[in-house]
Amino acid sequence: MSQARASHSVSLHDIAMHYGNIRAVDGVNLDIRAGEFMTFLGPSGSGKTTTLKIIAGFLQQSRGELRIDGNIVRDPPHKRDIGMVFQNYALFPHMSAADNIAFPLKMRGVPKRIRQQRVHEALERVHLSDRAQQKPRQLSGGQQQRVALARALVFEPKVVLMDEPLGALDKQLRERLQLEIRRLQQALHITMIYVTHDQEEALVMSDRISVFNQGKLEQVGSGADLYERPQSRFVADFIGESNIFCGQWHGDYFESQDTRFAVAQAPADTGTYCLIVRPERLYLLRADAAIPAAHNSLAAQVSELIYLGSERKVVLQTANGHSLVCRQSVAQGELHWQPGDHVQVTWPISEGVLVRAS
Amino acid sequence: MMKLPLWLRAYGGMLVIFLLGPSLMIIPMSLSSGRTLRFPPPGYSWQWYETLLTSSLWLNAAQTSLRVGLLTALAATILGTLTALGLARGRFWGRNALQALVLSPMIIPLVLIAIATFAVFVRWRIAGSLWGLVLAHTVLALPFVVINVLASLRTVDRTLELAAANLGAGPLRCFAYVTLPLIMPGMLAGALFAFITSWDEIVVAIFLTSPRLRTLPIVMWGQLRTELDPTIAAAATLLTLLTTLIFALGLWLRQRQTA
Repeated sequence: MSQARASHSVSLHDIAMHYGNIRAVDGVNLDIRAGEFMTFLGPSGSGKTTTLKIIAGFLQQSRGELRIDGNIVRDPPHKRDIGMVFQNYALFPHMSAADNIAFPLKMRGVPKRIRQQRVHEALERVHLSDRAQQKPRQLSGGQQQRVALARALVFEPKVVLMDEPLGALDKQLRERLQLEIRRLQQALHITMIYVTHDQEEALVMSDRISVFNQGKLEQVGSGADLYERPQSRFVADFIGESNIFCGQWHGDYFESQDTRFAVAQAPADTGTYCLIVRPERLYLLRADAAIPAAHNSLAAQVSELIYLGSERKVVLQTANGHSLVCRQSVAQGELHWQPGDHVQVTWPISEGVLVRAS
Repeated sequence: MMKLPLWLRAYGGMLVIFLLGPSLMIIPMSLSSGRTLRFPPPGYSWQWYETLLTSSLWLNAAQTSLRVGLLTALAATILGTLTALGLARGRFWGRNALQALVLSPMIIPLVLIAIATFAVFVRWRIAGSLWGLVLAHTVLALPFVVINVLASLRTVDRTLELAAANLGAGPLRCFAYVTLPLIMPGMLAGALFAFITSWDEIVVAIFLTSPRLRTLPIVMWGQLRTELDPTIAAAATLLTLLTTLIFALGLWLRQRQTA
């Protein structure tokens, strides 16, 4: 593995996968840049893994084009030069760790001496030099994961695909490997496409995230884009926690359950919208306190206090039964609310995002 | 472990005697010092084993059986493995019917197969030849290989084959480097069962052997009707031992696969 190598871009143009009437993937357009860490995020059945399998060549798309560096790809999987790490690692159980890693080199006719050298380097890179001769079942989950990663990288593929590779590992190990994978990806400047349903993992690792829902792309953007400027209710719901008020946009104000709110960016059309405010953007005032300028506010009652270590969560109920969540950093000081207190929930108008309801 | 009631243990013991008795009874009979086959023997000696291992009739028969058995095992293993692959991985019309057809020699009465095969082989002029017998035994042995290989194919994770393809192995190399090593225990177990099928077989052999081509079961059958001396008991004992050994090996292989 050389330190710097040419990276490759991947583009999907109107990719679709239909099984009879079921549209597993339904018209996905996406440009993945060379050297980018792109995550496909979505609930199960949203089409993210199907899209990944189409890129790998395991599935033939019903419609659309896949291009790598602008060239249409139609080869069978073994000629695509795309590395993949599978959910269950898919290590060959009858081969040692070193033989597993040597396999793609052997298939490419790399001479034995060079092969050994590169396997050695690959093992070193994933800190498994002392495990070279062990069979997969003699390795721990994390070690197997690293062998799978080394095997997918050793032949310098154009793109590396990862299908929920950390799903089976415990939280601590998962977090360590997330950083390890991200570091390798950046050091080698590899184009990587990573599938997960874990939004936190997506935020930690990705340059950009593609949010899948029901076979379609909901939104593509950086973690900050998705969190702070969600473009749909689904994205707001799926990434992080949200307070969502659904109602009507009347042209100059937004009304939800008989309460009027001001909005920072007015949509052009009237209709049904949802106002989204992140829990950490809310703050609480006494019921008789004056509302600052350029803030929305809402009367509510504290119903629950939850301590989360660095943060605490205040759960509130409005008069008409709507439940709200407010997060406060513990560093901000003592909390002086008790369950049952009447308060005003307020937030700066600029912190609310209005999106179409559907 | 649960303590079993006395009657159940007695019943189990009787069942074991019922199943194993005839095979075990032959052992003292083969060690007889007398001149005829009877139980219990009048005294003990190794003389009949000596007769057996120096008789050209028995040794030729053993050699023929071994040759037919090994060729049958080889042919059945190759054909059976390919058949199992097709049945497990193929998506084609009539797959279930084909599977039933391949396994049918296990249910169809042997004598029917023997008569039909004989009629055809006479016309083809291969009745009484080594290759004719191997061909017929291969048909009988095929289901055992197919069943064993199908079972081991089911334990092979399909994503391993996807991984091999992803890493640059075309279909043939994927089979050679990944699938084949993983189903090897199933193939070996199938080959052993195929060998035993041929080694023990008499019904089809009665029709397809000739004075110049005689397998062990055929010679035993002939001796039993004419001579009735304890050599046959010695031969039967050795056969039982060998068969038991091979079966144990086959079971061990299968167990290793699932473990």
